[in-house]
Amino acid sequence: MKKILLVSGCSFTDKNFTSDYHPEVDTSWPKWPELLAKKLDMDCINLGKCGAGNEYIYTSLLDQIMKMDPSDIGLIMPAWTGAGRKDWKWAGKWKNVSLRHYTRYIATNGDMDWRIERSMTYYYSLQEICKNNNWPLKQFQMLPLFRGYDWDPKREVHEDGRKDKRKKHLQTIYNNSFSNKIDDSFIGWPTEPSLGGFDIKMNVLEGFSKESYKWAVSERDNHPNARGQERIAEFLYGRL
Amino acid sequence: MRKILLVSGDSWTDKNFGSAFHPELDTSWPKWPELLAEKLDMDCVNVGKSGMGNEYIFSTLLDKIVSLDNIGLVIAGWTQCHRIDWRNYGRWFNNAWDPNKDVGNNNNDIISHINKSFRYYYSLQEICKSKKIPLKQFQMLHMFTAYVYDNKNLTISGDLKDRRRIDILKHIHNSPYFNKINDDFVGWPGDPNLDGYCIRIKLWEDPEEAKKYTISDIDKHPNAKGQEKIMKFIYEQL
Repeated sequence: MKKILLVSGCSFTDKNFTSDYHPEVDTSWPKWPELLAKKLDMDCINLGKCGAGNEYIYTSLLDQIMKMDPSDIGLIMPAWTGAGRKDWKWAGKWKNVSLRHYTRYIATNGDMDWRIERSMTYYYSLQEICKNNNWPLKQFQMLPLFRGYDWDPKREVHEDGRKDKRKKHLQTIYNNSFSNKIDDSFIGWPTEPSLGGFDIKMNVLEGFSKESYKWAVSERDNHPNARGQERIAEFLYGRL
Repeated sequence: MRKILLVSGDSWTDKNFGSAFHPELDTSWPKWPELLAEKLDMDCVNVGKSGMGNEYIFSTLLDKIVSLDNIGLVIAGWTQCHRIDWRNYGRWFNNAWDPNKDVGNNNNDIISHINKSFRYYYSLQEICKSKKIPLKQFQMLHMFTAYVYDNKNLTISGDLKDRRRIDILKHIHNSPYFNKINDDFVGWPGDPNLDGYCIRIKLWEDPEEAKKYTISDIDKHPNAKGQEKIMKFIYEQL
């Protein structure tokens, strides 16, 4: 029996991803988890879900591990997303809001610095749980941890000129107690280039620049196309 | 150098607890974490805070676990699962004044709140195991009875509330986490119907007896004697 590659993430990982901008496009090309599983000769459980945030990613992986025989696990891979997203579950169905709703919900859902720290709590917790149980783990940041919220990459400007926020968020990552406790199982830690890390979208798929279009569904829809998904799988395979 | 007793929890654990019903009352009596630390000859780091929920308890313990050396024992005094915590500009907030109010408004239902708390219990257990730090977990307040029975938004009859409670207990029993929580959790899973208990109900079973240990008829928080009683009970479980 083959081992299992267990993956969770956002739309960049979702097996059933469809394009909001181009609903007519057939997006059933293989996604990176399925491509990588094939390379690794593993079966794939892909829990990735469009719009999902880091709470969903942590929860879905842990819940799945609890339900399966841990000796079947070949590799666990969370593809972490932006910290600004919020997930909740009602009547058995996961729901989420993206960073566009950040300002609306800040009063009762915490500011971005807290959300960054909250994400780092998930990264560290998963690392230690896997370490304690000898479950193989590779983590990485698929989308920038906070950049989409603070910085509009398409217009290449900071929203409302809030350059200070970006610096503050970088300090939040750098000064956090978990920062130097995240180990080498996290590819590209601490995720921000100015701190010596990287994320897949900005580094492997060339961000939102013109060069990125070859990896994307279209100029308007920057989700990875078939080539982009292959590139992610190859990059990750090279880092295992 | 003495080892550290690291504790987090809600108002029942808060060193700086003040009574909302009796603001004039001096509530500076020693709380159970400080009393227990003295008994164990440890220094106490108590990050318990009134009104806070399980996310706060998990986060604050984890922050200290990674930043403090010399931790001798971690104790989590878990609370109601449907409380929500968040932080703005470095300050923690919560919805404990009415945790039911937010239900249905971009938040979990009660089953998902319970699942979320279970993940905290399991995560803390595994992290402490990984770091080789001794751990004891307790359910200080009952996980969900306040949601079922004190919920103004749950407009159903008493019978239906009882049925709801039974459904929740079934869910807990069938949860994949149910058998993964080990003996470090004293009184697991926190409800007598599943052979567990929470400290509030266990120690305050007899209402007449309970009066000796609570602040007043309207404020059921532990008084000085109540804090000592909690400490003695926890000490016996170590």
